[in-house]
Amino acid sequence: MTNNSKAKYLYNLPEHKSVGRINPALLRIIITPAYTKIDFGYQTIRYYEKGGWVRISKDTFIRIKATGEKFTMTKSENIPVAPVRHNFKSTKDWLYFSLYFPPMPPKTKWIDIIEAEPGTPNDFNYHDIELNSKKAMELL
Amino acid sequence: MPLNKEAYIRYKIIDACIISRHKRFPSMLDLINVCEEKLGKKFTISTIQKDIKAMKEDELLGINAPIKFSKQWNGYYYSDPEYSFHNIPLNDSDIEALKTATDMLANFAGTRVSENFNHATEKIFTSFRESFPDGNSKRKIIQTDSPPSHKGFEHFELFFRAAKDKIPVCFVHYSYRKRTFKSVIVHPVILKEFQNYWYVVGYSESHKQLRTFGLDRIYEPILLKRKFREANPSVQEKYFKYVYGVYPIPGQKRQKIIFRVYPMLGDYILSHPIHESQRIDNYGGDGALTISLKLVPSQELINFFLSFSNHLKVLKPEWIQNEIRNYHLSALKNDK
Repeated sequence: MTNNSKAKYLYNLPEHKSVGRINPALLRIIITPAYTKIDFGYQTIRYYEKGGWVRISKDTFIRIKATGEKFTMTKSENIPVAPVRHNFKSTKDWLYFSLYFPPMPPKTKWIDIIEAEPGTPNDFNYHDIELNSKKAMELL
Repeated sequence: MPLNKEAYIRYKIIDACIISRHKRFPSMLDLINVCEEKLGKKFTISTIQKDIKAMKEDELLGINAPIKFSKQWNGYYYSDPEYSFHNIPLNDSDIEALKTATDMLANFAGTRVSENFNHATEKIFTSFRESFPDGNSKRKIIQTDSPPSHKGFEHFELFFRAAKDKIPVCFVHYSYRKRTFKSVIVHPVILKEFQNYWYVVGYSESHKQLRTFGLDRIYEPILLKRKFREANPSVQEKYFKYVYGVYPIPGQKRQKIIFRVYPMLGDYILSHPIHESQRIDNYGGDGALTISLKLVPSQELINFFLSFSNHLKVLKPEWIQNEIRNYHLSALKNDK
């Protein structure tokens, strides 16, 4: 992460090592002095009739790799918190949604996003997400 | 009679000289000097004299300026100290033109552009109604194509600002064709409307070229504090001048496209040309026309051919013929 504590930064399409985790796609991480916002895009697949459903656990958290410190989700946008579900209409449906967390400490470099541990392939877990300061873009 | 723009500017200069408190009673020489200084060209005494006469007497102009000449002070003044050039009444044809323009503006407002635009037009309509209560006709004379607001239109103002002030934007884009999400950084150049849909065209960092994005497929655009990348002017020209529609087909260059249209559609295309490059290559004895276009093929052009495929036949290039044939075969397959 960058040093300017008042600025807002965007990490576009951050790299992570979550093999096979392409859905939902991790699209953007926006870090501000007030919150951390993470944007995702979900595309339904043929496996489920009418595309299935999604929801997010209220216990979803960000973990800083270096310290193990956890930041629990504060708000979700466009995706219901479990046990409520969002039911898709077809195998060609999609959903754009965002999760909010507390602001990250400056100089954070690696994080995990965890919905459940140890977790199943159905949980939205992302590991070793790099917050590369060289790729950070300041928001206007 | 339309008012000559330069003459109107001279009238304003003459008025400003006459009401100036800095130098009262300007002489003819003073008026000539100020006009020459402001407009950067020479004027004769005769021109300024005609201007003063027109300002005083020309009924069509309707200025009716009470200009008098003072022999005592060797200069011009207004006999009515309350007179103001800025309160010139509009004549009948001005009012009619204004009513028509207001009606057209009313059609363009609403869902077509931004909320700020609607506020601005509402201000105009309010002052217009105050000035011309009889002009507020309930009967609609002009109707333009004004569809209901579509998804993504709420981003219009942000992209307008980004293109105007040259600010890069990051947004999430969902491709209807690929069925995937992508977050892209785009340097917007222009907002384009085609068949009532709005698009933003700009340099995309991930695609490394100018691309078109439908506003309806865009999520949460955000402005970036980042150096703006200018698009290559020749590429912009390809996008804006030589394309019918908004999505030029990747890899295709500007080329000649020839097609034959049968009489009814031919009349329509003659009166509503598809593109400025449209030429009639041949008039057939049966009323059919051979028409050519020189442009970069787009998906919208192919859609146009498909929508009239029982009234036209593409002759060249062969790949567009094949494309249309494949669409028809696919349609037949779906119909089974």
